[in-house]
Amino acid sequence: MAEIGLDAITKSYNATVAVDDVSLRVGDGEFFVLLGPTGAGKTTTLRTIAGLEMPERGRVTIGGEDVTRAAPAERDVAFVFQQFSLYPHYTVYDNLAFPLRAPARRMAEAEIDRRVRKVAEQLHITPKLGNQATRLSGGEMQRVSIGRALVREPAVYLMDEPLSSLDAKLREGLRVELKHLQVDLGATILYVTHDQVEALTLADRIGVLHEGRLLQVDTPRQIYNDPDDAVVAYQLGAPAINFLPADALGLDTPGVASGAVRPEDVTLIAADAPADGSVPAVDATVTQVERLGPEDVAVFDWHGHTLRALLTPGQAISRGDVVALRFEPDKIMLFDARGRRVRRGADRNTAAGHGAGPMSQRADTGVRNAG
Amino acid sequence: MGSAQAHSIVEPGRLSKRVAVVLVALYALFAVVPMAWIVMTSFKTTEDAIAYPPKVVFDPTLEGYVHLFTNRSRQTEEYMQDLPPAEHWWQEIVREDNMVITGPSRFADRYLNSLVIGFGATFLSVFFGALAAYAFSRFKVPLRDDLMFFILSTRMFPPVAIAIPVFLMYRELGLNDTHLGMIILYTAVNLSLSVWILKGFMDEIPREYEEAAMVDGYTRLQAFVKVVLPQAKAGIAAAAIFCLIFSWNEYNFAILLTSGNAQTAPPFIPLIIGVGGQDWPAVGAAATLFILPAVIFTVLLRKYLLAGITFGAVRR
Repeated sequence: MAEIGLDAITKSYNATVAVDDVSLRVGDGEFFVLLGPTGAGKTTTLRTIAGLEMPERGRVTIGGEDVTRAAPAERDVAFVFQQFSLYPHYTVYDNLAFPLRAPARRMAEAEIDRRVRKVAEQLHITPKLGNQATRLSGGEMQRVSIGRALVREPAVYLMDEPLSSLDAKLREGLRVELKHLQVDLGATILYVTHDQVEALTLADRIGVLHEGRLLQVDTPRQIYNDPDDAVVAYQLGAPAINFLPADALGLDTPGVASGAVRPEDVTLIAADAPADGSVPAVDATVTQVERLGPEDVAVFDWHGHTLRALLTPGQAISRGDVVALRFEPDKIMLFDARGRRVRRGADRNTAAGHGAGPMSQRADTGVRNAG
Repeated sequence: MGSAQAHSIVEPGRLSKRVAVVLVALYALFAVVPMAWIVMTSFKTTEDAIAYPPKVVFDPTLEGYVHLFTNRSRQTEEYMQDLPPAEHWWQEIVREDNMVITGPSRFADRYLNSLVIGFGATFLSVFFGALAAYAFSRFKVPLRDDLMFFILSTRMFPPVAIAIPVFLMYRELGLNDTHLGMIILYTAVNLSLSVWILKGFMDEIPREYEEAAMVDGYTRLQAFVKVVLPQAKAGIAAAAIFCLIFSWNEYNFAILLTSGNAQTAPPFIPLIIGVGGQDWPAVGAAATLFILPAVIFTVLLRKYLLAGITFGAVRR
């Protein structure tokens, strides 16, 4: 295992800058997740580390060694692709053995067999070893893909949305297994996803990419509770955080353009509850109620702004009702006109998980499956 | 037979299916009759071959095949009677017409030339075609679209239009009437088709396959051989069929550029007619043997043909 270093990596395709001056350090044995929407530059970053793309500027190091100009085969990285990575003309066994049979490795067939069987055992695919790769379910295929990375025992693992082509149930199961594997092996994994739930559940640290720029790197809890940027705040949490213009919230702090409040920090209050100065208590019209089971997601229209709230299930509200809402005053995050966070004096203290380090793997707030 | 059968918009109705079957069967008959006639002629005697009305039922003989592979001379009755008994069945067939075999004909050589040149050119066309198609499919080739069009445009005129320049060039280079010369020529003509067919197939193969192999410790060339080529085998088969059919059947360049050493079967077959009267069974035998390799090759690879015609658009 080894650490990964990116120093000021820039990569563009024709006129579009895919990765813009990204610097990043993934520690030895760390599960690092790059989170961002489609086109944010996540995959390009990953491919640059693998050597499948050459950056225009910047340096890539693996285990302290500069590999910026090295061929993919020389980097000792394993890559798990989103799809299409199993060779349809091989059996599962041969797919798993393929990396070990590379001419550069010259590994004895007995050792190959030992490793393939060990990995098949770990991933519960031993009965499928003789199958043709095309005769597998989606979940099995992705297990084999991950297995093909594991047999290598490489310095680092790069994973490009390995679970995104699976259905929700499978994704959840494989996600848990993957985290177990990583902890057992002490593997260094750089994992790319657009799914905030995967990021929050898997990562030791999350880096949020947006339009080629790395906006924030932090632990899941910290990045959820204390985002530096409106885009980061929006990326994490489902339903998404509510943004409201400063004047709608009655905020007159200089430099503050908008305020944002997470759906779980919006509560329904009795219509006749006394208004308490700083807290906006508002009249909002219910436009939709999604009853998800453990919670209800209610959508409100408030003076032309759309608001979402997470409510305890069984609320007696329905479409068209006019209700009063309350925002937790100290949970409102402030942003300037460019989307950067404006911090009040005491803001840093509200983030309980700050500095907890890689061991705080699960953010207990806001982990809800968007899919 | 439910009258309430659902009608699918996509599936043709029963009537149109029947009409299609009848039409295809008629066309198949139309296409097969000349071939069947040639095969029948090859097993007839010279008299049966030109009998009028034409004979459909006849006593088969191998006379045509014996004539095809031998040179013969006609002898007097006395000479024939003095001969020792025939050692082989083919000598007997010839002796019935008062002839003796003077030696083998050149057909076997010509046939071998056709095999060497046809399959050699096919192999090279597909080999270079695969490399070029891969490069066009994966790399940033400057002016890619223009180059692809240029490659295709070499197929837009009949190849024989450049016969005279090629002839002069080959004379200067000493490639006239050589196997190498013919292989190079047919490869050049076939490459355009091969590149286009194979590029269609290569485009369909996800890059992730090679990229995975390259990350796993293979060089690009090793990944190409181990991963891309097996995936492109339908395209390779389709391209090979088309290339073989062209170079196997090619007549114009063959008659212009070859005379002895490297002459292929197509320009040789018409010459058979002139040797000792109109020997139709021998011509039939030559034609039958000639179509055999192309038929076998096509039948073996026929499941890839449709994919080839559609440039890889209908895979599997």
